[in-house]
Amino acid sequence: MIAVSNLAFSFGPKAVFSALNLTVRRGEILSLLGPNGCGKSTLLRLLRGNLRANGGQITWAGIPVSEIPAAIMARKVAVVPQGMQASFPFKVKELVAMGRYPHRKNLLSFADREDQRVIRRALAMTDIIGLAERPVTRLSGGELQRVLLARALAQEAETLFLDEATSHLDIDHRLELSELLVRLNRELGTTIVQVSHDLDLAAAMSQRILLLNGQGEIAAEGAPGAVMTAENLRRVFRVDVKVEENPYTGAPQIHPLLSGVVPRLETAKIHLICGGGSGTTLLRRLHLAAAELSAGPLNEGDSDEVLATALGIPLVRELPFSPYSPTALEETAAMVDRAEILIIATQWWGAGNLACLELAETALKKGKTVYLLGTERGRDYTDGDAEKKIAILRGLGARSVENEELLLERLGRKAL
Amino acid sequence: MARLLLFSLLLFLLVPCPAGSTEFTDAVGRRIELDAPPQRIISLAPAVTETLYAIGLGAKIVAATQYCTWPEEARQLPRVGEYADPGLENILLFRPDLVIASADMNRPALVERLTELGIPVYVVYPRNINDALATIRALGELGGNSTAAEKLAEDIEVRLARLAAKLAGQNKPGVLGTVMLDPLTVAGPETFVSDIISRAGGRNLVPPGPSRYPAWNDESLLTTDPDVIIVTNHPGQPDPTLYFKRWPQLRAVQAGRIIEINADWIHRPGPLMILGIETLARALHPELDIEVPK
Amino acid sequence: MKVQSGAKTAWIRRAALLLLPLAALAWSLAAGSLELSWSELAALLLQGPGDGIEQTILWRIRLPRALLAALVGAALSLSGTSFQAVLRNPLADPYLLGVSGGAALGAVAAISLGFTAALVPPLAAFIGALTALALVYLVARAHSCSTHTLILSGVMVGSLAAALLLFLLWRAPSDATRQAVFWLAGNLSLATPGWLAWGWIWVGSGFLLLWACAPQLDLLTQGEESAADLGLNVARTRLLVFTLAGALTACAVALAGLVGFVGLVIPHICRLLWGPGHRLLIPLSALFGGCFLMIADAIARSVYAPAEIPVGVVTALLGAPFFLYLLRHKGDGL
Repeated sequence: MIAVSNLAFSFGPKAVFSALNLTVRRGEILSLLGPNGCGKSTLLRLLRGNLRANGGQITWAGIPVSEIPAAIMARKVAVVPQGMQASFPFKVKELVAMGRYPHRKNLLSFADREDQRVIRRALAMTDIIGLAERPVTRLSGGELQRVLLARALAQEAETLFLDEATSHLDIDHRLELSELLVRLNRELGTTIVQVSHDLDLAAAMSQRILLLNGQGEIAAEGAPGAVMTAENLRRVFRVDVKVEENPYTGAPQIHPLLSGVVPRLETAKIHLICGGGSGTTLLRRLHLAAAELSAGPLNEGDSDEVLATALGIPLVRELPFSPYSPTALEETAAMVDRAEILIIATQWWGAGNLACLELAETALKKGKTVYLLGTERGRDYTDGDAEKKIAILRGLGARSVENEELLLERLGRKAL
Repeated sequence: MARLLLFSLLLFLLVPCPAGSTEFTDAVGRRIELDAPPQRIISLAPAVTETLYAIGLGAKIVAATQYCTWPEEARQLPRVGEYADPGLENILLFRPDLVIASADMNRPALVERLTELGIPVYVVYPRNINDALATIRALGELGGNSTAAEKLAEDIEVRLARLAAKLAGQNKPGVLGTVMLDPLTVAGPETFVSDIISRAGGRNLVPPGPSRYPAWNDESLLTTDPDVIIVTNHPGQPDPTLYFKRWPQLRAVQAGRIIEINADWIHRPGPLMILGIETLARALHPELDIEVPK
Repeated sequence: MKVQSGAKTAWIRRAALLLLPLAALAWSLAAGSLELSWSELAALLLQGPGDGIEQTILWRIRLPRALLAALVGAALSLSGTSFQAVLRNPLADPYLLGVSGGAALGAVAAISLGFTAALVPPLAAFIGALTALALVYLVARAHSCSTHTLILSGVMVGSLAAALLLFLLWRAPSDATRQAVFWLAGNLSLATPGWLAWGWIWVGSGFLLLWACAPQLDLLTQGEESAADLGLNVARTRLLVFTLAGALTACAVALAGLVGFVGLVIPHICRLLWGPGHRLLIPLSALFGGCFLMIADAIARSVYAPAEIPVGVVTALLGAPFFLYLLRHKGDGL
């Protein structure tokens, strides 16, 4: 029913979508999932023509969206927005009556007798008849969301767009609303496209799921069971999850593995040699993991130095843009001595920092664990001296680790 | 010895003015000292300029405002700006030894600044005819020409007394003194114009109120229905005859008693005010055959 | 919320609505330099127009002026209501979008150039107001007329006009300045009765068109996106409402100078009393604004009669305490 081909869209210089293709089929429930900022709400806006695409085409039953006037579009699709702040004290029934605007016959009013029946049914279906006379400025966030849903229902459109429309609801109303949507879909054939953060609920009620990654690309698309895999979710949301089948509904159920997010490393004594941003992630994550951390040597003003200082991590400082002096190296050697683990995150080597590799050699000889971050060859400005040293370190038992995630995982396992 | 020195120093400081200097108190109670009669005067008010010329001190004026238009020589004087905001720098450039300002027109802040800069400022504040006469005499003393000033003041007083004698026992027509027509603004009882009206044998019909120059509407005009309406001619203002012709019911319109008088004669508390009074008296009481010298 | 329920209060409200315009008109006719008792007023009204001073005052001065006050009050209140809905900003008033600045500049430019004939300053004000509004709209259109851009560019155009205005006043002779200031402060005594009929036609048609836009105005209060989702052509509707409200303001300014307060607060008062639905709000705010200005003008004319105090002073002195009282008791209605 809605066909999107080669959609391109950007906010100023920031590209949101570059070549998106997708179709919404008549009568389906489609959920758009993805991390914050991936463009789910933007996609909904593009689909209904509230935003103009920079390239590609969006058609409704073959008609380009840009050629459909607002009044016609409002009869095709009703939108339940993210909870908005009500600023004019309309009564609930007045606000719901606004949904009749696209069907309006009378110049001055929203609703005639026939419309009143539709409005009452919308109020009933969303369980807000009791609130009908209440000003919308006096509603809780959840109540307001139900009012906005009722307004969308009163629009009697064949399609319903929900933009995180359940985020403010209590669990009972959230489930109830999901059931309502499923029923609308089953009985009236209403097509439903929803943006959601509730993975479980989306998996339970959707016929199809579209998983967007942080770059606005489709990471996976298809039936909930096929899309909601641990692998897909880890790729898109960067968390480890366990996916089980709900024993009652058969829908996939997602359990985030909290320990995977922040390992606890209270007991680990770690020294980090880094620079030029190579240690940014590790400094932050190890700090969060409560490890006993030291770092250096670092040139003043280096981005890693700034971060380590901000986090209050003990470190050895060197003058800006200078090779590491013997004094700095001595201090560092003392720090490495106190640590149990040495991590070398530095990615390029020159005459100025080559001495760090000797520190690592000493540490290995003293029986400490040494990790080398990154398996690819770093940049070497020492005519191969650094590479030889690194080979020696490997020979002495230094371990190479591909990326920060894996390193943290290993450290965590070791700590346990 | 030190004590004696200190004492003499104190004594020196306490002595109000060294020999030759004279102290004056101006109309707002400020004291100023002049070592000798001023030779370079700046006048910031037209009435002051007129008075200074009338008492023979015109040659000592080095600059005046752009509204100082009488006598003819005054038009040739260098200008220091409008009276609302003469430029401070402009004033200093003329190296005056006395600035005469008007409390009605000049901001106190300007007077303050000039005093700070060491320039003596004398402030005049004439609110009625008697004040104006006193101001003439004060300016005479200030400029070192009291005789001429006394003569001018006395001359005006004599003419006023002669007029008062003629007007004694006469009925007083109700007068509305307008200041401008669009918007219709009239002179209230606490104004100089009001004193002019009463000296000329009229009765100001504007009641006391919160504003000295209140704004009136057509209804007030019709309700008050004055015997005589005084108008002054300004560029940019409606033609008075046409303006009042809209209301033929008015007695002043029916009797043709819309009197136009030179604004400078009735608004400026200077030597010309007597002309304004006599002209108005003649218009208010045509039967008395009052003379107005040319 | 006790006002909301109860047949008795509803009845009182309805009766008040019927009586309010009559009472305001009667008061406005009775008040002024010439004191009239109610019976004298009734007798004069029955007599019809004539040449006597009382008849002249009543029929040729007070009645046109009361009708002018009603007209200006209604126009300002209507445009305030519309601007507040379109901009979703409770501080929006008819003068917010540079309209006052433009109008003032137009009028003062005419006055200081020496065009002081009765017709010219109001016409220049009218043109100035619409020019400012058009400028604001054109600038904001580059950013699809988001309300923030509109308000900001309105304020900027207003400041620009104010600067030019100060310059003109600074170099104008003092008579022209007083004339301009008097006009800027808002005054109902300046309009010629001949304008009244045109004013009523203008404001009347503006009112009818805005009333016909009542549902659209309701939708606009829900924000641009929601309004569009509900099927409203937001850009077109907003341009229409702007033009109508701007034309009403320009008309009011041309007839009476800058009468403040009415357009800002009367819509709020009506919204507090009758809710935000524009089907009721549009006619009621016109009615209420008209009555309010009639009463305020009657007071301005009579407190220090025969002198007249600026009507803007009275509107603020009357309206602000009433508004504060309403805020205290029904404050969430905003």
